[in-house]
Amino acid sequence: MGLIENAERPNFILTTIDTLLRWGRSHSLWWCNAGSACCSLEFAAMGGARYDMDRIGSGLVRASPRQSDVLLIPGPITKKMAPIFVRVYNQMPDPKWVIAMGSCAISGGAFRESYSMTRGADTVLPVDVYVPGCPVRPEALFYGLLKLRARVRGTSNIGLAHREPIYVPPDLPPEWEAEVREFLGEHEAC
Amino acid sequence: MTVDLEAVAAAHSGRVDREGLDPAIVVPRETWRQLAQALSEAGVWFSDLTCVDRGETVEVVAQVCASASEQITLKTVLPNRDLTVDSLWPVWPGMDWLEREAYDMFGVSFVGHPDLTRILMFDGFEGYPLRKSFLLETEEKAS
Repeated sequence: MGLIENAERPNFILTTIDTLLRWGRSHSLWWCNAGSACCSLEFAAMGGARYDMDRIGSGLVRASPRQSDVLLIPGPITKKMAPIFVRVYNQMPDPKWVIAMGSCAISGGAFRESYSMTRGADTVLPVDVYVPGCPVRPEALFYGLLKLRARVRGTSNIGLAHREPIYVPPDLPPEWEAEVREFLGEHEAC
Repeated sequence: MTVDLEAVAAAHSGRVDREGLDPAIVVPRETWRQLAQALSEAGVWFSDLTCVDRGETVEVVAQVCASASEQITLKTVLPNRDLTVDSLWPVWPGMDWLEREAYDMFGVSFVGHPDLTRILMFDGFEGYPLRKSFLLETEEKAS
């Protein structure tokens, strides 16, 4: 994989393989769930019948970071746990993405002033997707996952070093819910 | 079983304080372990240990039970400049982690404890976070 990520300029062979890899990766984003707090339960709801993340190939929550692509941080990171999060992140193979789920993982949330908490996951790790909420609704996380999936599929992996984070809006405009619902094939109100 | 609080307090040069929910025996720190030893021999067991920061002083507070319905509070008052007191670990080995927590959060040194290290915060953490004098990061910036 390093051949493509580390190549600075695209050429015919690399771009063809890159497109194939992007397609494959976007359909198999496997999780590493570092369940540090209660948002993890909302994530668990995404595995259930209603949201069913298996339908986009993201249903596998691996026990080992070495088999996963997306590190989910569903809660605050204590200062004591921060080195362990970094270690888990370092154990994941490239390319890898990080989702900060919920207020605590974004900014520290209710624990921001605490003596034992870091102020957001991005003080420790490079975060790709910020999903706000307290707790995050499964739809919002699904939306963040869809955006990440589009990013993985649409962005060339050649010269992968620089990535801009994705911000899911905190007050949800009607469009995105419709977008998720359309994707889920669900017509009743969420 | 009923403990004669007045007699126990008098024997350890302390006094009985009945202002709180449970009666409290307040002793000087010199007789802290002897008090616990005497109660332990009378069949009293402990349930909790913590501290209260009063600004100039720090109170070490232990909750003990003489029976399921009879709770007694043991207190000793330490001046801020010298926060040392005898450990109750030789009396009740279960005090191990509670005293480590009190040390971690309030900085009280328990003499005779087998392994007095931080239990909640990581090694290398500076300060004792539940003390009134501890500044949070925002307060440090403001001051």
